[in-house]
Amino acid sequence: MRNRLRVLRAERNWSQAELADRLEVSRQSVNAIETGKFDPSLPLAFRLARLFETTIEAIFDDEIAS
Amino acid sequence: MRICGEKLTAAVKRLCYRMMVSGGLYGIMALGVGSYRHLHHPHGAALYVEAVLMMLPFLGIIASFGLYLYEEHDEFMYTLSVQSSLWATGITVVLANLFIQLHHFASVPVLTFRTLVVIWGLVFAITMPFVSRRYK
Repeated sequence: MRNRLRVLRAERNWSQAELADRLEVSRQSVNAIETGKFDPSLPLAFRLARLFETTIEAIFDDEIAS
Repeated sequence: MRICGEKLTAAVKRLCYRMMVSGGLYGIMALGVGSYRHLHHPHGAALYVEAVLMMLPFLGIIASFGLYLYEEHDEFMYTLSVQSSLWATGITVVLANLFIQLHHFASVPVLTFRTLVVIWGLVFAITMPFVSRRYK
């Protein structure tokens, strides 16, 4: 699944490690989600949306629909 | 605590601690049971007690991993662990069966439970980086 995580993170000047700390997950998790190789669960997607003060749809993009 | 520059999750730290405790317990049991056997030459029920005592550290190792899977809140690390454990279980079962067949046809000694636990742990550790590479 494509996502805007890297862009949102760059806008806030956060490193992957910093974002991982804020989400209370490992840096590898953030990297795997960012590269689209790993799809987060719904609770983690909600945590991401809350952290970036946006909606899940604004972060994640279903490739089939696009 | 970091390994290869990566911060360990709290669940991994607890897993390492429990594994070390189980390993230490195995050392103590092996020394204790060995000494007791050497000094008292036990027989009957005492041998069953010895066998149960020697199994306790292995139960500790299995329980540690089960607790780790229960406590790991990082879903990505959980996924990696489950995939590696499936590889480890598969390879361990294949090796155990291979040696059973070799035992029947070529009188090769079968792998002991202790050896299988070590093989499982090694395969788990070896496959982890390969499994995680798929997500890079």
